This record gives sequence, C-alpha cells and structure tokens, in this order.
Amino acid sequence: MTAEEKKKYENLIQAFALGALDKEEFIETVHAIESSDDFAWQELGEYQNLTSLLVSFIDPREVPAQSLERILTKIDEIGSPMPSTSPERKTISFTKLSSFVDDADNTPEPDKIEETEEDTPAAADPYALGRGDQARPVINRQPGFQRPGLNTQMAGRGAAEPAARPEVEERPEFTRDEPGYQPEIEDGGSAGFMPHLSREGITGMDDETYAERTTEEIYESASFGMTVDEPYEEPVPRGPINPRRAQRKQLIEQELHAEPDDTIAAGPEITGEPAPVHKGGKRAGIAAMGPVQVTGTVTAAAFWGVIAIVVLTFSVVIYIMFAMVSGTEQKLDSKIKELGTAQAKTELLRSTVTMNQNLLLFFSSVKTAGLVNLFGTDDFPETFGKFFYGVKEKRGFLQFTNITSFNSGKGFQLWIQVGGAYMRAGGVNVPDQNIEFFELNDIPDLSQSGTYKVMLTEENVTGAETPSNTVIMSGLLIMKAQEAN
Amino acid sequence: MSDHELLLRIAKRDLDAFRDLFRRYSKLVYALVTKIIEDEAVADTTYEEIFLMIWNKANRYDVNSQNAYCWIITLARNKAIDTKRRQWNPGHMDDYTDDYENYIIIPHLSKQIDPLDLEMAMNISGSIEKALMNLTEAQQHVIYLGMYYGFTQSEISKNLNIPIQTVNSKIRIALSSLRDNLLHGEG
Repeated sequence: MTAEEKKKYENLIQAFALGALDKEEFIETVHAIESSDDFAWQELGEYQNLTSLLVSFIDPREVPAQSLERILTKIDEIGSPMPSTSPERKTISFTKLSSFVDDADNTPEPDKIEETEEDTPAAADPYALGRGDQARPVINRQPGFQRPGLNTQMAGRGAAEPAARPEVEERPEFTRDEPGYQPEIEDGGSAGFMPHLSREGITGMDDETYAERTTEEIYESASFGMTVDEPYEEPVPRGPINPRRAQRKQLIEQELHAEPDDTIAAGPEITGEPAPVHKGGKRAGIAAMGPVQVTGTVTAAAFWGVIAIVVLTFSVVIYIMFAMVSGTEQKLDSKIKELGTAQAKTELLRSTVTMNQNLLLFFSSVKTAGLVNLFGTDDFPETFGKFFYGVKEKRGFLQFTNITSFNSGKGFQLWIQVGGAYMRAGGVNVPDQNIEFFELNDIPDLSQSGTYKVMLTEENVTGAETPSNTVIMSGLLIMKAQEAN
Repeated sequence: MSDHELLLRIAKRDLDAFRDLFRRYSKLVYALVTKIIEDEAVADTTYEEIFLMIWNKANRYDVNSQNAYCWIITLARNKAIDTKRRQWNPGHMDDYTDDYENYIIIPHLSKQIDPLDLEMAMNISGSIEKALMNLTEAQQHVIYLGMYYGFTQSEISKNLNIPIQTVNSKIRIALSSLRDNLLHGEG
C-alpha cells in the first residue's frame, strides 16, 4: 500500500466504522482491509469499538412476546447446515409444537420449556419431531407383530397412554360363534386396543384345569374348531435297499423267528459253493452271507471314499494355489498403484511448476488485474480457489484445490455475474487431481470498477448457457484498476 | 460464560448458548433496530432476522477478536440500515444474496481490536454518553445521521447541502473527539 493510499484509507476509517461510506468506497476499504498487511488496524479497531459503544446508552426495549420462540421455530424450519444430535433440537420441536397447539397465553417461557416437555400433549408425534438420538425404532404393527403381552413393560406403559391413539392397528376380529371370541373387558383401557391374549378366552377353562391337560389336548382345544389340511408327507426311506440286502434281511428275520436248532444247517448257496458249517443256525446263516455282502460293500465305499479324498485333496491344492496367485496379484497391483501414484505426482508437480511459470508470465503481461477468492459452498466446504483476471487482456487464471469428486460426463464452468446476468467465463474439465490451474480466454468485459460475483458450477462437458444449481464455489470479484509499474 | 464463548458455542450449533445470548442482547438489539426502523412491523421482522443471522453466521465471527459485542451490534446496525435503505430505494439495491450478506452485513472487524462484551459496554455507557454530549451539535448530528438514519457521506452531503469532503471531515473530527474525550476521561 502506497503512502497516498494509506492516507486515503485513514481518512475513510471513521466513516467506515460509522457505516457511512458509499458503495465504491466501502468496497475499496474492505478490499484494503482484506488484502493489506500495513492497514491501520489499531485505529480501525478503536473506531469500530467506539461506534458500537454509541449504542450502549440507548434505553433497552422489551422485545415482542414470543420472539425467541419464533426465531427458534425458524431455525427449526430452516434446519442446520451441520446435523445436530444435541437434545436441544428436541426442545425446539416441542417449543414449536406448543406454539401451535397451545393458547398463546399458556405457552411456556423458553427457559421452562424443558421442564414442561413431559406435559406436551400426546397428540404430537415425538418420533417425527425429535429426530436424532431421540428417535425410537419403528415397531411393525402389522398383524403378527403386535405389541407384547399384558405382563410386559409395554402393558405398564399402556396405563398412561390414551385409549385412542392415532395409529391404526389391525386387530383380529372374532364373531360370537367362534371359539376365540371374548367380549370386551372393561379394564380401564390398560390394554389399549390389544387383542386379549389370556388363555381363558381361548380355551374356555381356568388355569388349574389348563395345567392338568396334556400338550396334545391343549393343542386340540386351541385349534379354534378349525382343521388344517396340510399335505401328508410319506416318511422318506433312509436309502435304497438293493436286492442282496433285502434278501439278507429276509433271511435274518426268518432265522430270528425260527426255533433254535442244534443241527447243522447249511446256508443259502448264493455263491454256488457249500457254505461253511457251524453250530448254531443263526450265526451259521449270518456267517454264510457275511463274506459276500461285506466284501461288496467295502469295495464300493472304498472306491467312492478314495475318489472323494482325491477330489478333496485336489480342491485344496487348487485353492492354495489360487490363494497364492491371488495374493501375488494383489501385491503386484499395489506395487503398480504405488508406482503410478508416484508417477502421477511427478507429472502433477511438473505441470504445476509449468503452470506457475505461465501464471507468472500472465501477471507480467497484464497491466491491470483483479483477484477474487472463491470459497466452497456448503456442499464443497474444503474447496478453495483463486481467480486472477487481466482487465484489458480479458484473460484469466483459475486456480483451485480439493475438487476431487468428479461426476462422469460432467465438467466445471466459470460464471461471472455482470449487470445481473451470468456470463460464461469458460469451461474447465478437471482430472481427478487435487490442485489445478486453468487459463481462461473467454472472460467478459469487466473494465468497470465494481463487484462481480464469480462462481464455478458443475455442468455437462459440452457446457451450458445458464448456470446449474450445483455451485462448487463462489466469491465476489472486486475490481480496482491498478496500473502496473 | 462470556459473550465470546457463547458465540463460539453458537457456531457449533449450541441452542442453549443461543438462548443465553438472546437473553443478554435482545433488548439492546431491539432498541437499536426500532431506533433505526420506524415501522414497528418491519423492525420486529428485522430484529428476528438479525438473531437468525447470528445463529446462521456465527461461524464468520473472528475468534481472535474476542469482541462479540462489536460484532453483534455492528451486524445488527448493518442489517437494520440495509433494511431501511431497501424501504427507501426499492429496486435500487443489490439483490440480497448470501454473498451480499457475507460481504455487506457481516462486520469486517479489525485484526487488532480490543476485546469487548456487553457487560463492559454497559459499564462504560455512561462515559460514552457524556463524551457524546461534549461534542458540538453539528458533530452529534452527523454521527446521528450516519448511525441511525443510515445515511452515507454523499447522502449526508445532500441532506445538509455541504460538500462531501466536509462531511467526511466532520465525521472524522467528531469520532476523533469522542475517542479523545473517552481516553482523557472527559466523558
């Protein structure tokens, strides 16, 4: 800042603190405040304090009734940019609710709101209002998901709940002719509209009789006179019986039922050879059949067992090999990515250096320049940018950081608001990188001093005639002619 | 809890802090707004908008300044004067956008400003009033026009039919005298 400029701003400080500067002077002063290091900060601070202290001896006035409630209601309606999980949000909701429901004179004072929360009319739906940590899980009230029974905690709560709640719950309907029918019991509404689930109503007997009955009897009586036609399933045999086994089984049964015989008996000639002779028919018969049966069965089992073991072993080997190969590929991928990232960083660094040189060339080639800081919107809080603008050359440089999300088929477009209308200032297609510089050669004429809104929006890569609602960042361009030395 | 701490908490969406700040400042802010805006209905709306803005823009409060009083009062005055100017010149003002609010209404406090809160301000309000009374009528009038009428230098110039340089000079001298009166205990 030159001595002349310093003197000029020192003369404007008092009027600035008083809020009496005209628009152009105000813009110039704010620009100087934000960009100069040698501004008369101390003096400015003193005058700002002084002018604000002029208000201190005004007689305070009673504020309009319920103004705090209205403000809190607006806050609640607008919502918070930062999601709030604090219980205060619940308090606001109740405040808002009471202001609508209650008579104005009965509305509690703000500092008493929390105390009167419990008295809030039950007609309110606290689940919808008290979001966040106050929210309770939704209970499925469809048939089959009814509330817990009378002996549960919910039944106890029911006594305090109004008999008629707004929720619609399907309730089983019984006719008087049905066994499950039971007239409504006057129980003071403690059960609300729940189905009566006492066993007396179902079985028609008292607890003592009920306890003496068998499970089958209870099931029979609890059938409500209904029969259930379910398809009867034949018991599935454990496995096929081959003819040899069937024959063997038949022979065993015959021998088991036969009279004991001490005579030597010959077994059935299955193999065509004479069976070995033993004393004791049962054992002789079994023994006669044994070798044939056992030999065949063991052979098949062994065969399939060996096959299974081979298959299993082969599978395990394949799995181990696959795992080893897969692990190697992952390591390779990781190595490749590391190398790629390093290369990308090198390329980015190189391009940044090059572009910085271009930026320096840009500055050296323009006579008058404007600069605006672009701040990310709420959706892109980390984004930040700087827009440099050459007045006469109608060229600009856009530099920004932290634009990492980039939708497919989309690009970014810079807009400058001139005379109330947004004019295109060039499009940029950003690779997924953290810092970028872009030279823009399609800047509208901004030779007049003043403020211009600059914003970057997301548009189709082909460009757009009007800005979309997806504003990435924006700022006010304060144009002030500065002759280059 | 100090006003400064309350504003920091409000920036973190603490509604209890907002209620406390409202209780402290509401009467003074309402008095200021109704002094600037004659229409009571408009004043009521503006006053609520000011507190809504405090809630929404507390994150723009410079934590280093530790001067919540100046920030709140300046914000309230800027907003009330802007509303008044819009009543005077409908269609001749810039669109009231978020950027406009951030740039024009939200105070640009000095990097080197002494800490101040409502309690301190109330303690020295008597001195301020006396110091103001020690100014000439012309100086008081100029301050009044800027402070509560929302006149700019050029508007004061037209109103009083004097050159704008003279207006600027009168404002500078008036505020300098006021500061000197306070510093030298003449208030």
